[in-house]
Amino acid sequence: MHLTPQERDRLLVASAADLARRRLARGARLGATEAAALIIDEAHEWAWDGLKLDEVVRRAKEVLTRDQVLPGVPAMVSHLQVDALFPAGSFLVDIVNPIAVEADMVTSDRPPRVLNAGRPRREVTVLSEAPRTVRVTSHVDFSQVNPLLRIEGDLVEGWRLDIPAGSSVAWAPGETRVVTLVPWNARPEGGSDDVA
Amino acid sequence: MTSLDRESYRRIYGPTTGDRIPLSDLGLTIEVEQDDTPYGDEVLGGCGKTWREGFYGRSGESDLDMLVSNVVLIDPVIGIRKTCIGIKDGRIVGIGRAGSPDVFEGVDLVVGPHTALVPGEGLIATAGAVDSHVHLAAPTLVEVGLSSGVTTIVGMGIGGVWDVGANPARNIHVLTESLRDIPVNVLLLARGSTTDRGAMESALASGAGGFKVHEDYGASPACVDACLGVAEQADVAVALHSDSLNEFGLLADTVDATAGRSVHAYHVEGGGGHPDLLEILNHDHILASSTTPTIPYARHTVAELFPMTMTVHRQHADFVSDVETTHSRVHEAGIQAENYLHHLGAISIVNSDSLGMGRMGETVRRTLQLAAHPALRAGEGEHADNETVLQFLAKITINPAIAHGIAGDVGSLQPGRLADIVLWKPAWFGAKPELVLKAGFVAWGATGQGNGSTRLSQPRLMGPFFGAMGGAPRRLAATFVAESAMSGRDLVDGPMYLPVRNARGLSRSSMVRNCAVPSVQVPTDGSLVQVNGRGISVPPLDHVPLGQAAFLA
Repeated sequence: MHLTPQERDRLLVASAADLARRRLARGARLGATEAAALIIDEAHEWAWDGLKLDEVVRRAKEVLTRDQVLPGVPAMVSHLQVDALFPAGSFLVDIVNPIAVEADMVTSDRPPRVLNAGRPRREVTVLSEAPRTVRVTSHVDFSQVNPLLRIEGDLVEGWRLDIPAGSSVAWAPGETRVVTLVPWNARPEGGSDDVA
Repeated sequence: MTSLDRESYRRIYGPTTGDRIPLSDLGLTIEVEQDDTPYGDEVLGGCGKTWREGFYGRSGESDLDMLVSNVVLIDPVIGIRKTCIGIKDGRIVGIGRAGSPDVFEGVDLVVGPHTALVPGEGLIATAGAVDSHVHLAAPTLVEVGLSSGVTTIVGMGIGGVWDVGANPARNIHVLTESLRDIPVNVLLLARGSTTDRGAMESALASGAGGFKVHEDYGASPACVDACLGVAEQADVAVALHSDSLNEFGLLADTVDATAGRSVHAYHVEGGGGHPDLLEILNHDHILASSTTPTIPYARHTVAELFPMTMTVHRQHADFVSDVETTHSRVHEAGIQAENYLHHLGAISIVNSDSLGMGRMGETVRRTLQLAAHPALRAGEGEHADNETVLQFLAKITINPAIAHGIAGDVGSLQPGRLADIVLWKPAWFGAKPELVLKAGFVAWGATGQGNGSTRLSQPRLMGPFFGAMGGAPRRLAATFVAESAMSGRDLVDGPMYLPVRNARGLSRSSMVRNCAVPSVQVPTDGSLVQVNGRGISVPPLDHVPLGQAAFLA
């Protein structure tokens, strides 16, 4: 057979999926491990048969319902990825929330998290003269951004965008935006609620 | 003001102050009490994220080797806190806010241009579990332990033999060589069932880090006294399986032999030891533990104990006396009281007793199952179930570490300890870890399929990472030995040796969040155990969490 490690692993999935089918046939509810195996196993075979990738994903979300698994299982298998062999080769099948749960209807009336609390702020007007979209992220020093972003006013060294850490602002070619900056330095306290 | 709604914040950066996190299917919820990072300056790795030039500082002596970011830490000493964990040279050097001191005020953890990042947002971090009762009967238990979050083993026996200790010198040396390439700390107990002090001293010089006194080899008051004498001299711990036959004396005689010297009493419900062993909890110098089979008390607990005891203790069905003895060792009332006494905090430790009447992979999960016991658990406090979770986590991390004199190195995420860190997804907490870091290097966890295009490619298998391969464990895993052995010539080369320290002079009050000394009385007729004057009755569980939802077998 010359089985490779990935083929051997495929057989592990197949045997776990077989266990899942036997349990379902007895009316038992599945745990997270065999539930995941069953979904992955079906995805593998739909891929093998040459279904379109998005069709494999769509069907994978219909393999199991919440009533067929034990409590807690949907949260445990909230994201499955598998590299499946289609007639056109190996491709990634990405399955998010494969076991449907009712949307969480709890809406919190608690106030949002205030970011960069207690820091000075300044607004600057920025025009992009770049021929392509320029994106600037939260923690880039504004004195060092793409020189084709024309910043109105004084030097902005030591200042950065007042946006959530890791997010960004985009300038289309020719676009002018007014953005708020905060200084890099923050007060040393840890995160706390509702400090304006 | 810039702001972010709470759910978005939680999804991007992980839960923060005031957020509540349900733990797997336990029915226990923790609340984050504190966040060390100001909102707006979170560490995130990825394209366009903050973990880039500018966020981290210039290279310097204080650079970290690794940072675990944005993680919710659960530690019985530190509390429940959103933070970052900084690692240097295999040890935790700090917890707190990370970044570059060049651009941020109040940075606790200096991130350099080459610091490695373990993104911890959405994950829980605990110290690696310390399993303080492991019969090294077969090497199969090592991967099972790692896959459940155990990073330190107090082990005994050498595998495939009838022995409850690792001894004598040659056997200790060979076993130590075989264990040095696995990413688990090991402390070997030598047999303490002897009055021959020379044999015990030789075992310590050769690499044992403590003793086990066991009735199957002799647990007479004379053995207990002699072993404690050597242990006091060497500053190592003694674990005790006392005399279930009352052959050499009653429980009081064993307690008298300890003469106030601290002892770690194993399986105190009485399955291995005097039938009234639970009464040993009345003595402050006794540190007590339970083994996995009797917690939580469940539907088939009593039924399985007879064949298990017959097998493990080499009893013969042909001897009526063996059958009678074994029946006399199953104490249903004692087990019920034992479960209660954990919530009371009188029994401070849980360990597996793996392959010798216990299950290696179930120390963590059974401890949490007992924490969640619907008839025993305390109600939610000011911060959800934080107190309950911290109390029970202490039983498998810091308390066994203190009891065996290794708490300066393991059992907690306090700065200075080895960075033995277990990362969990909350939905899988207590069942299957996501990653296990050993001395600051990823050594075990859920690996992706080798031909996968991402690290999530299924099937994900619990198995080795690079920290478990080649010679890496010799740099990552410690072998704990008596301090005097470190300067001697009787240790084999290879492992990273660390000394056992402060193993003597301990009392119940040394145990974190589990230091109660109640009045316990065990009736001779098998009726309910009296704790502080009240008969303790606990119903068996028919269903446990961390069970069939998490494991297919």
